[in-house]
Amino acid sequence: MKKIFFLTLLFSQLVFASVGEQIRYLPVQDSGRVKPFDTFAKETLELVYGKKTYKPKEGAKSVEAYWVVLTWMLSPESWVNRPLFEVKHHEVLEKLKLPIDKKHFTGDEVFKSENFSSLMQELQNKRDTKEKLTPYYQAIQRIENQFFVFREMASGRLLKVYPVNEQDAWLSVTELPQDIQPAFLDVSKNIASYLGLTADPEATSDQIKSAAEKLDESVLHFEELARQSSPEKYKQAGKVKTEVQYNDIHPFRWAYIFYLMASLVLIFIWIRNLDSGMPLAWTLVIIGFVIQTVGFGFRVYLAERPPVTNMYETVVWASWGVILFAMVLEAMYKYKILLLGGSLMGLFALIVADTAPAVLDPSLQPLEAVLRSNYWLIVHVMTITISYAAFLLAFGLGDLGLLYYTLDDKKYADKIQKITTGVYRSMQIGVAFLAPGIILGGIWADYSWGRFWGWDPKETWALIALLGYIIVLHARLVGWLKNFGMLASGVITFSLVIMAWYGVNFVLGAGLHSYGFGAGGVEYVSVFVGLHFLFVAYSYVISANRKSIDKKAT
Amino acid sequence: MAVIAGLIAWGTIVEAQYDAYAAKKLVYDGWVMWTVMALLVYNLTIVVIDRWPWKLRHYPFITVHAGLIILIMGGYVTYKYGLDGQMVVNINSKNNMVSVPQTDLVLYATFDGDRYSKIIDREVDFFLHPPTEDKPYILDLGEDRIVIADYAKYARLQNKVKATQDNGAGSSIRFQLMNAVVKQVEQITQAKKDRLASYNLGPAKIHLGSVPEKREPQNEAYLTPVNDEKVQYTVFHKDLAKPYKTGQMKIGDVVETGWMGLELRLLDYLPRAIEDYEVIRSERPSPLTTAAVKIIHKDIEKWLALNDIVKLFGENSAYLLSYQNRRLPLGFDLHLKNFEIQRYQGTMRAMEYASHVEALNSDGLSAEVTISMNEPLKFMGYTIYQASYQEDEVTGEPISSVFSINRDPGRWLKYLGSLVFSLGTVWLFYQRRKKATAA
Repeated sequence: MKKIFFLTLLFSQLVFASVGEQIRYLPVQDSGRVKPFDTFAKETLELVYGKKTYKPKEGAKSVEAYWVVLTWMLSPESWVNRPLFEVKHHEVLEKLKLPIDKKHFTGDEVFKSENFSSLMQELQNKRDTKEKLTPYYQAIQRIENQFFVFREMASGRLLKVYPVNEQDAWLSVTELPQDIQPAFLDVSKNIASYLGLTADPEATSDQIKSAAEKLDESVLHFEELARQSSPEKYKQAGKVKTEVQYNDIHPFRWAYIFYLMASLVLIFIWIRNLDSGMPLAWTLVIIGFVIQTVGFGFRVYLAERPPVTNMYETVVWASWGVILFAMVLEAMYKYKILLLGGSLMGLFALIVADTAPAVLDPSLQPLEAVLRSNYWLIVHVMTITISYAAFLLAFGLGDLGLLYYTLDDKKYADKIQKITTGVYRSMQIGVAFLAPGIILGGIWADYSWGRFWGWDPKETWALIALLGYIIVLHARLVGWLKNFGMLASGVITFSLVIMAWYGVNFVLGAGLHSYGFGAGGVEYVSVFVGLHFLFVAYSYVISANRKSIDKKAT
Repeated sequence: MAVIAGLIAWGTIVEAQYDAYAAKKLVYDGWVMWTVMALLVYNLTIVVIDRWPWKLRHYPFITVHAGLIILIMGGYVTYKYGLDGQMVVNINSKNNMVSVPQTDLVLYATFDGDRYSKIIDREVDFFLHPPTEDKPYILDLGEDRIVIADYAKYARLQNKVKATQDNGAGSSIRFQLMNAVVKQVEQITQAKKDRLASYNLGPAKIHLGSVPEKREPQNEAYLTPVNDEKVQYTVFHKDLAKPYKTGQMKIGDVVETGWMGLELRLLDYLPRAIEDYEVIRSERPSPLTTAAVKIIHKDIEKWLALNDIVKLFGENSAYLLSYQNRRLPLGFDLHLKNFEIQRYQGTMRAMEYASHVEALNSDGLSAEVTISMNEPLKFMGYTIYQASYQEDEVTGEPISSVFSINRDPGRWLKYLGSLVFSLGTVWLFYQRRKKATAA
């Protein structure tokens, strides 16, 4: 039954591309690859506006990125008074004399502000010294990009739609050959009349439909001309259909919806100590897992590489690993809490990946030259990040265990014991992946660069994390760490993983591994880590208090 | 273990603040690090000996710890005897010297103004032991003394043109090119008298020096020094064989060039000038910074950047002093025959690049291969890895290839250590399993 539900869900999205949407499939050359206009528009809108859809005002229906970005080009003047440009950095806002409680501003407010050019000069001075850009300068750089992207889009120079044999770069709308221009003009006209009709309350659905069909036809006609210009180059556009489908399906979002349902079921049966209900939870987890795997399939197919080359992909990959390890451990021990911890953490990681695009960039980007050796990438990066998944599971279980300590560690001794076993096993799995992962990294480095170990920050922090967990495992072995200690370590030691995983790229921003280098989210991550330290301290105090009260009582 | 973790964590912070070189110097290759490592090895050895007499159940444990000891030993051998350097080879040329991070002071002297001989060549580590005003580093040459009184870890060099009395020096001009859209100020300086110095604007060129007898027809102007105040200008157009106009000008004068409506204004003219640089200290390294030392010789203060040479005049002799990265002979020539670069479509972003090289040693052993990312050349104990490339500032075309060159005598120890360690780990897990199932 569920399978059928899932399949219809999937195919309802796959099969019916609605009329008037052919423009989404138009191949565009952008940042080193050919992508559908749909993706191009989403990425462009995100850069300028900060989101993938545009909300004209509070409570209004969101407008799809492809319409928004098209209208920048067709009628830039209609955007003059709309708050389109997202500026978030407080210091930058203050310098521009803009209110810091707002996020979106009109072009005039930002670019015609008297301090805009002095900010640009500041950025240029910083660039001249070639020093690293701090978040403040990165924020200014984003404004520069927003300005550039909007202006170039409005002029038609950004939209590269027409391949030619002589050169690598496709021609933009303004550079189209004389005889091709009418075909694109036709597309523009049809867009205008279609959008006009959809906005017109008196237009009949037939009128709208026929306008949509005309639009689709004109887009297809233009695509055909572009294909004739350079059939060889147009082959690079072979995957645009799949990419639009991938954009529509949101596989990772569906995956976490299923993990959420599974978590709810599992919480219920764990708290109520029920024996039934596990098959339902298993089914939900497995469906989520399958959808997530399908999502990976899409990405691998589209990018032609393993899905672990930037921060976003590793987070999604680790959430997949968490679910996998939780399922394996659950199958072995049948504690229920293991699957619960796993689906909660998988859910958490996917939500983080889905909601923080500024930090975790989900776009498919071309690889740096050094990473284009897929074989090693798979072996080295995948082993290391999958170990992070195991540590993430230990972290989630540690949190759950500590929760019981704050409730009543005597009453729930049995549950705590089970959770501790889960933490211990997860850490073992993690170490079993991380240690060879690091050694494999060394072998890759030696094979590629003739050096085994170079004290690169990423290498070093992976080693620090490994040392941290090995210390914990040693301490447990000789009996220094009891159950509470194990649970607390599960939570605390994970901060080393966060540093190795996120901090090196986003806080330190140094070294050879910082390909996914960026900034953002540091405050959130620090608060997250800090809160967990507080939580550990709190649960320690609570349970220690209880013990002293017990002692007095006896 | 916690101490090591803490120490290397500090290393990464140093690296983030400064650069990998600083981290290596200050942390990873420092004595604290090696002391801690030695303690770790001691500790590992003790826990292994402590189990004596060994029983079968101890073996996995011993294997794991022995593996770690071997790994650390390997690291030490690499540190002591390994080589890690860089080599830049221009397209279509050869190089056989690899430049390593160690720095040397090298001094050449001449007494007849003709033949220079090396009189000092010593290693200095100013990064860890910087000379200061109070504690300068002194090169005592008997009758002469060269004092190194300051050191800038991260210095940005700013070019500066100075007037000089030296009769062999060339001239220098500063000029402005201006039309409705372009307004550009440039300076060109002749390296020596009578040598041509040029500025390339793309469709037009400005030269300082005499008009050569043979020239291609193009839009260009020659400014030829006449005396201490005037220069002779000769403007050519690409479609005219004869000069378009000619005459003399002094500072402040303007000439219409006739190409693209550009006006040429002479802003400054130094009949005898040398190019020098000023040092601007920087807190942190950037791709533009380099190390520099301040030299005092006979009341003349001068900054000398790393890998540059300065000429000093003594009572009876002249000196060439250089502060440089040590260059070691590889024992073979690396010949860069070709360099290929592929870019992501429609961008300047490099997708892949590769060097086609030929390596030939004196025994006639040769290798002709393509070195690309992750596909290095292994030749005579060296690993030659494609690290980067340099491109022409104007055209963006690659002009030379940058290789990183390594020799790691500790490699086999590290592999052995990893292997022993991994075997031990598997063994340990296997043993636990057996125990767990037995229990």
